[in-house]
Amino acid sequence: MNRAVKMIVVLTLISGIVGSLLALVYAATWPKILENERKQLEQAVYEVLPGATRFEEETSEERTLFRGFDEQDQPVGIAMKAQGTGFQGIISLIGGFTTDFNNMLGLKVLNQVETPGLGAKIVEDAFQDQFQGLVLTNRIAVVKRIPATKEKGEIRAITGATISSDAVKNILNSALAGVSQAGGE
Amino acid sequence: MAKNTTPLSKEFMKGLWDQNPVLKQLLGMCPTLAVTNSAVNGFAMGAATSFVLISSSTIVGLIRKIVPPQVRIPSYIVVIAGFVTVVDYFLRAQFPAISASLGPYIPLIVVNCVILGRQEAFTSRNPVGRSILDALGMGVGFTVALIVLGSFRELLGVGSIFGKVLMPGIFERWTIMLLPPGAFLALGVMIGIGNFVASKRQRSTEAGKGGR
Repeated sequence: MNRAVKMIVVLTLISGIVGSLLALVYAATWPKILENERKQLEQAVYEVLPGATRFEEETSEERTLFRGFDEQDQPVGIAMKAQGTGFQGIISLIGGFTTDFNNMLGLKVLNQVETPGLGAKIVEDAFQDQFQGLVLTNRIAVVKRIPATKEKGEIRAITGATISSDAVKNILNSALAGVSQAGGE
Repeated sequence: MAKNTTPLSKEFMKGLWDQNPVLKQLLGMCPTLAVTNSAVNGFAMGAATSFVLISSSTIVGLIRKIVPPQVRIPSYIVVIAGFVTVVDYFLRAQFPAISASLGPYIPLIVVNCVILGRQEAFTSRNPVGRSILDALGMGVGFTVALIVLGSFRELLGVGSIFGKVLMPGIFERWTIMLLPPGAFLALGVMIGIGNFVASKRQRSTEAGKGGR
């Protein structure tokens, strides 16, 4: 066989076989991957809406809201997904709010690539718990003194990670601004 | 080509120490430095790389005679990339947490020079059995080195190993060990210790033979 033809045949054959095998692997794993993502989101919604036992997804053009309800089918609050730029990459998070968006019920960071040991502390409870019961009359503010006042919408920055703390605040503020512009609840 | 007469056990053992990919060949430094901020990450990266290495060596060993030398590199890369994608999807389906913490470094195994290096330097000129042993040894050597490096950094950086707290409460965490400079410091110390042990050992064998 001509050398050039052999090169083409062999390379095409190898690529074809590998490609078909990958199609099989994709078909076998993809449903499971989607389910993992859905589970992660579901768990996060229940975490930021304490007391909720079920939720309804409400998708509009601008945002997706998750309305949580308790056992008596009373509305508990609304969770909202938001994302924005952190120190090194995208931070995506989910916030839980009262139905009038005047108080925060919880916060969970879903994905982040902040600096390990510093900015990555935004996933720790010590940081996230600060958002429980935060009053949202004003925009959320990051402060460096102790204690931060929840009634004024203040949270304490993580030592050595002001940019990451600010990033979380900015993501939430712009998401909330979007909601109030849309007429709020 | 002369027949390879190295004993089979040596083919496996050389990857563990004499030609350890991390400590001696200094190959695959990107994942070595980037993901070893905890022992479990080091283990996961080592295991994923070993799987790709062993599978690729097997397939390349089987097809090496029908692949024309001119297209050997693209052929190897397609095989390697195929296995890397399998690992990526498998981790995302079965171990989403590990997949999230290793992030883009799993797809980057494709360009890990340990893997292509072994295909080029060893598998392409040795029988498939030997190649698998070589890949096993290199994989184990790589994984162990990454676990040790990850444990060292995790111990000093957060005071634990595999998430198990070992340092007393008053221990001040060395955050730098989790950051890129810590990776270089830890790797440097490890290679230094490795070379020290190796030179000690060489000296004692020489002394045993009655000196130079």
